[in-house]
Amino acid sequence: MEMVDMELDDGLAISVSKLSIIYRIRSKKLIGRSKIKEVKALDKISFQIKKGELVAVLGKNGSGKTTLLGAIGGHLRPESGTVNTCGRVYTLRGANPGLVPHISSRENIRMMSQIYGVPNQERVEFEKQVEEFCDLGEAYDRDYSSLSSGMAGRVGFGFTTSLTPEILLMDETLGVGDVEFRKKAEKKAMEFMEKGETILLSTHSLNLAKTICNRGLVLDKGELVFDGSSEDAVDYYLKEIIK
Amino acid sequence: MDTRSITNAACIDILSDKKKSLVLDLRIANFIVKKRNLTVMKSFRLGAIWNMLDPLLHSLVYLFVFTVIRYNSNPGNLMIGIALIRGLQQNLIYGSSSNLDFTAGLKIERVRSRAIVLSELLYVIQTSFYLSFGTVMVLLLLDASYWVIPLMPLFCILNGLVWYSFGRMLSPIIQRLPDFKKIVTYFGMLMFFGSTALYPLSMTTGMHRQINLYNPFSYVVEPARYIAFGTDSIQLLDPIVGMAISIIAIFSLVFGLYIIDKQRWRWSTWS
Repeated sequence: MEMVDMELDDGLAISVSKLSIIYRIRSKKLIGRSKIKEVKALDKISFQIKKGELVAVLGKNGSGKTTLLGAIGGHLRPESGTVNTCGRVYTLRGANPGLVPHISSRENIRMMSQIYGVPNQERVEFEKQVEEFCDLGEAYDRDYSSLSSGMAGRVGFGFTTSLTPEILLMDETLGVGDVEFRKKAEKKAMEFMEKGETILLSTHSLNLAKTICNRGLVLDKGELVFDGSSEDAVDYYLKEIIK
Repeated sequence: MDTRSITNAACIDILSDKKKSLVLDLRIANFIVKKRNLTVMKSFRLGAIWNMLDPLLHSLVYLFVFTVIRYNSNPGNLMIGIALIRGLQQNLIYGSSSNLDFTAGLKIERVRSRAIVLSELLYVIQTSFYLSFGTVMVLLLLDASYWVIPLMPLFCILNGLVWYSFGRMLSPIIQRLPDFKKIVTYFGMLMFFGSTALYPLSMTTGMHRQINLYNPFSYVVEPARYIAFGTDSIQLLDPIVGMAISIIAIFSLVFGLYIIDKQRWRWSTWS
């Protein structure tokens, strides 16, 4: 429990200390005991993020970006080390944040806004804001399961970024949808940043990392190999990782 | 502001507004159950009505088999036994095998274990209530006491919770050794034929009776039969064993729900 009082008193939003994550994968056999393979996804990573910082996490596929966000979001158990966060942590990952397939986006947003604590007096405005952002026309009232992945992604993104988390973890989500939607999503992320909240963005879009973020972390094979400004992080990634 | 500390041992939330968090957790629990219902029932024209029709029709088929094809002088007793044994099988298997995606796909924020525990309880209570609904109607047609109206749902819910919690106690073993799930399924089948579901305790003899005197199921089904039809098998039950079973059941319910948090944390990096 002493970890909770942590070093987060001086304006820190996230503190990661010597974090290691190991996945255990069971290989199934037809008969007999299954073998357990251990995969080290993160290796003694340490960094701190201040409130209001916008941080890009760069790295090749399999470098540990998603695992890092999963660990900060409280979804994965560390093998060792600690993660401390100050504020509600929301994760924007994949197209569907848990919406019900058999009801419309409108009904979904109504239900989800209740469970994520949107105050009653703000709910109508909130729902309108999400609907406008999604810009789906009549499809907004169709079953969620009947939407294309791009359309479904708009609903998920629109809903999550209309909430007011103190810390937002975004995993490749700005890649969802067409060019027009991506521009809207970038604008929405910028608005979010201007609200002074903290964002950790895992992305392969180096341009996005440079334009939106003010800091960059580079991961390689589960290790944190660079921590600095987003421009320097992109340069390091291009020179040392991609080569 | 809420803070969270994540270590190998646990994920601990320190909540700034505990009352609001509890309300939100209750809403999340309700959402999880609702999503399960919608996912299962939305494709049917009768929708949620199948929640009640399914167990009723299932019980009626068994009732037909065991009363008409194989003559049984007391269909009411049989109906109670079948309803409760269905609750046993359903909840024992559900509790032991409920997978670790307890959160119905909610990904935005980590769902607190408290919300998951509440949703599990709600789900078991809801399915047990539906199970009792049709049974009560049939029992009233068979001249059962009107006490079955309030008490049969209560018996079904208690029975459901007890067997769900026994299932939860077994789930860590099943996680490690999936083959054990087969044994649990066959145990449920054995209970159907070997326990006092199809016949009252008074009709059993020798070793069969001795085993059933220590079977928790007897301590639910015989009181229910007594209330519905005044059958006297309840007198054969041992009050001390009944007390011991009640204590074990309460302990296993609390423990079974408590380990949900530890289990989901431990297994979060396994695949």
